[in-house]
Amino acid sequence: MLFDYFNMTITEEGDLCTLPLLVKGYLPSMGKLPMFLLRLGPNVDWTSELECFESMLREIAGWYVPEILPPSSSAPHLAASPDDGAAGGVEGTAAAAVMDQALGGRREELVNAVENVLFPAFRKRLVPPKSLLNHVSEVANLKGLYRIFERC
Amino acid sequence: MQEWSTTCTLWVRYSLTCMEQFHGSMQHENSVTNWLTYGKTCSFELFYQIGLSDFGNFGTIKLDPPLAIRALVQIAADQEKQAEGERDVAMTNTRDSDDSTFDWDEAVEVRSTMTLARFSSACPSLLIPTHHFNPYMPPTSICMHLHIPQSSAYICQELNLLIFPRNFSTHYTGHNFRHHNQACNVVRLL
Repeated sequence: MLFDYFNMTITEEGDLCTLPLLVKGYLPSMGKLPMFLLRLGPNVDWTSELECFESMLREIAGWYVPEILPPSSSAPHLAASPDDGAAGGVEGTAAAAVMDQALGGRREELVNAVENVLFPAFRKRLVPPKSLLNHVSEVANLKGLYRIFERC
Repeated sequence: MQEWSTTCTLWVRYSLTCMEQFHGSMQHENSVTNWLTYGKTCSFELFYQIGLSDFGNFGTIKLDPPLAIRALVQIAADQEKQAEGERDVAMTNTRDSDDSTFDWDEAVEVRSTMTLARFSSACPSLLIPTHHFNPYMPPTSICMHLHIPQSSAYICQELNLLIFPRNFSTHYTGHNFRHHNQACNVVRLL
């Protein structure tokens, strides 16, 4: 079932070989993959077909939500503190530099994907349900703004 | 509001600051109203709808090299335990005395066992709890999920896995009585 409907292949050795790709040009966070797998056991309703597909799709959607990356470690509070020993300080700085590079790469990839893949997909494919209204707040209303500016 | 549910346009302006706070702006086509939306909810809905519309026709992400499910689940379980530990520290003063007896570590272990059980149709060896009883190895030919009907598995989920330990014990004892002493230890532990 996992392969037929969700393109998830598991070898006999217990290795995961393939995963479902929902949108071309956007790779979901591999850091969220362990938690996605852990949630499949208790959070997917495996007892009835319809609920199983629905809850599985919800889990996949949750995994695909772009992750929030930590701020760049070039910020002073994340760099190695000057009180560290010389070796520890050098190691810490090197580790921070590697981490920063990896995060920087992912951040760039994510920004590109959000702008060039996800936003066009929002425009083309999203049909916002009413429940989404609970998660938006109005910033400005042109009609209301005209009403205010007319007074000036 | 009817129009809202049918058409919307998103501004393709998304600064890094917005990214970190995960907010996005949205502009309705007709009424020219600007909305600030939470990107997480919005993208969840998008991917869910893509999942519905492309169901059965997804693309494929190939993992090279393949990743061990057991290791991934273990990583997630460790993350969960760490998160629960931090939450425990934060809630020490507010938590009821009854709650403090709840074993989060055990709950996480149960969840990982359930997950591995779900993948066991492809790989029965995923169900072998190697870290518990190293000297005794149950045969991999016995697949535990075969002994749990789907409805019971659901009850397991609801009733904190009362059936799983029983199946574990069967898994260890039912096939070979030569390991009687070890099996008794297993049952006692469970």
